Amino acid sequence: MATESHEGMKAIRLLMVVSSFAPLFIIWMIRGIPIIPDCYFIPICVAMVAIPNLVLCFRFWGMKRNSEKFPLVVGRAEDHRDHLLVYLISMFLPFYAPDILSWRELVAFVFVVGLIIFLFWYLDLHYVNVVITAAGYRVFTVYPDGEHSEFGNEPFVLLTQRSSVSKNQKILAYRISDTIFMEAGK
Amino acid sequence: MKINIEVEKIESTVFGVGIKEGMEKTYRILATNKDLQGILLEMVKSTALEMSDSENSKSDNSVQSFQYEPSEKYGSQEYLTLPMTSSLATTVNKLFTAENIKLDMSVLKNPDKIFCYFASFTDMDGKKILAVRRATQFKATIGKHMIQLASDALVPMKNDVFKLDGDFDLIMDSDCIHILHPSGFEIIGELSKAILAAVPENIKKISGEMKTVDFSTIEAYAIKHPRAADYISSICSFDQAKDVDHDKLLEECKAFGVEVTEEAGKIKVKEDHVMGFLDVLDRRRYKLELVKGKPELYKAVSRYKIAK
Repeated sequence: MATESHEGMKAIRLLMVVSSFAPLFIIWMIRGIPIIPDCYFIPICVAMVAIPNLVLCFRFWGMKRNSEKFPLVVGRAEDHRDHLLVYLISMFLPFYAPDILSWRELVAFVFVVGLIIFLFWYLDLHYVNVVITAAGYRVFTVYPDGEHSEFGNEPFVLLTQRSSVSKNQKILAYRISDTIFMEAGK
Repeated sequence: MKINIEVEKIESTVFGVGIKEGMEKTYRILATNKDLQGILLEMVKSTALEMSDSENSKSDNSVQSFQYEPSEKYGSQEYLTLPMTSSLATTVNKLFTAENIKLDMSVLKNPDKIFCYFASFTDMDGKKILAVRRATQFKATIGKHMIQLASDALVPMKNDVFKLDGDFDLIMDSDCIHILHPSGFEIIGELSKAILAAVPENIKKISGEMKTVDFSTIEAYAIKHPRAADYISSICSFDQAKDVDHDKLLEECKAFGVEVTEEAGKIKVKEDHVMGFLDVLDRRRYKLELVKGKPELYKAVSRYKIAK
């Protein structure tokens, strides 16, 4: 996975994971649940979609306002499009999970979703986000080159609109978390 | 002095600290906001201004060179330069060329391990400068009760407070290290370790220039004595050994009471007189005869070559 090192900004990471599950909450909202009236269920789903994304928008606005830019140098880069498959399987959960007809089934379903969110957070998969992908960003895991990386040779995740990144390329990026960066536009 | 960067076109500012854990030193960068980035840039400008003032005052005295010499005794604030290609610049060069320094805010939880802080600026043309300062004042307020004015009363500050200095010890660009506080540069650059390690190589270079001198006693002495190692480093850096005349050298040693012997045509220095010999070679012994018939001999702790 992207990094095994200590990753700060735990709250931001968790919000990013919950934000990435927006499609699941939207599908769930559309399908509905027989045991919970729409007047309660729809606002809950809307809140689960809106709140994390609003907080993240605020975070992105803050990092641009603070000009939290860092110069990065690419060593070796890997494109993690395969992580999207894991992500998609999670998103389609409402379609292959049985209909929720009782409170016990609801609790079990919420537990499964919570477990998947926890695993995404724990495995640092918080950058797999449909909103980021829709905005045209690709995800690369960058492994710094050894020669000048004596003080930081741990891999990091780079979100960029480039179709590829090459060795020794210098990129200026905003810091989303301690190991996730988003390339700054010109 | 001129720093190789467009200050009005700064594209990114990175702030970080150096951490010492046992014998190992490493560096970490820290997140900052725009206000702090502005303050750091002001510190660089202030440092550059002080360097210019120091440079101008030396030029008035017709000083030829501002290059840093390990053997020289400097004041607390003096503008000096050192090429980035110098062997004395190895440690700071490593920080300058470092890439992808790890971002880690948790290092601030152990401020006693912080030995320096630095700020790196890159302009839109890709030119970079790095300014460094010892962290003596940076963590001076840790553990002390800091208070602030809140509304209409004084209240204690809950978070740790770190203090920035008014200027940096040195600023590096791609060509040169610009030094404002020589002692700060010597500590940050780990110069004493580098100079002692370079003694054999420096002796080899000097003995190649001065084939009529036996440097074995001098090398054995300098490996254990940092001051002698400093002198040898200076002599080597400034080519002081080049074209030294054998007879003139003997004459100067005799005049200043430096005891040497000649064995098989080679000058050999007694161990007790190694520093005296190095003084002569490093142009630190001089004679004045202002009163006729009464020559006076001096040793200079600090000297600059002046233009004629």
